[in-house]
Amino acid sequence: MGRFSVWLQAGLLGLAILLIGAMGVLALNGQLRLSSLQPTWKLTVLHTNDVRGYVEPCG
Amino acid sequence: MLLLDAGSSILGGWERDYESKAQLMVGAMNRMGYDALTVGQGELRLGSKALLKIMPQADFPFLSVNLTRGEGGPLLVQPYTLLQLDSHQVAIIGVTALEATDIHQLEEGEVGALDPIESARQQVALIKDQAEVIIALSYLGLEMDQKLAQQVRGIDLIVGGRSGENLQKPLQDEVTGTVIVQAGKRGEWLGIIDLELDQRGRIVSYKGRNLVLSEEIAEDPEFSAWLQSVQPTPTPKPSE
Repeated sequence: MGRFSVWLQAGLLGLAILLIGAMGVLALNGQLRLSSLQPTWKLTVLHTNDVRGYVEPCG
Repeated sequence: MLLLDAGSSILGGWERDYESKAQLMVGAMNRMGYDALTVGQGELRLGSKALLKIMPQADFPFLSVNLTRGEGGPLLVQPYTLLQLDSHQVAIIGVTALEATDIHQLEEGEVGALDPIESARQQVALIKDQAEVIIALSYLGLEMDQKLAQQVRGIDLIVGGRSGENLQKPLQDEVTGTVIVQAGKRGEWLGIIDLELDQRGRIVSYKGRNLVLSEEIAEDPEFSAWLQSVQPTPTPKPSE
């Protein structure tokens, strides 16, 4: 049982390393946005321009 | 939420009574809750003295990173503003086209203009650690906005004007990721862009559109009452 536990731990550790490595590769390739795993916030911007209807003179 | 104007909104085309019209517009923008405006050619038609006199009446800053008092002088107006939205810091810089000073209402050398892209680059470098998000409020025109997006890293959003483009969908620079919007001209459109940002202020997603300000949109009764109550006092037109 002890040996099985060691193998299990080694297997889980290997799997974790593999998973982290794969995520890193995907992130570098732009296929996984690590930022999407983080909390986000929202910002709405309303915008106008030229409200009085100005036309620049020619030339 | 932010409400921004990308310039040439204080004064229109062939107007008389420059100062009273500009005061009226500033009052209106105060009531609407504008957060910032970039100085465009319309604002410069007041002349630098009248512009500087009217600015304190605004509840929002007039911005430009590259307009100067005289050629080679200090900046005409503040280059940027920092706003706190909940726990997030947002910086807004103003950028003005070189050609904006080429009007007869300004005396020779009265207002100078530095290179807008280089000025923006320097300003962004100075403030990038102070804000999670940097917005460039630009009176450059769309073509120059695209150059600004390509050449200056660190700007998250460019809110543009001057060229009258009605971008129903925002543009995004492929390399820098900077998003560009512009809401038509003559105040006929209201641009709306919703940004989703991560904790470092990088844009995760965005959705933008321009809303036509048609007669179908109901008037605000309080604003209408205020507008009717204001009677601008005619002032002599600046000599041309």
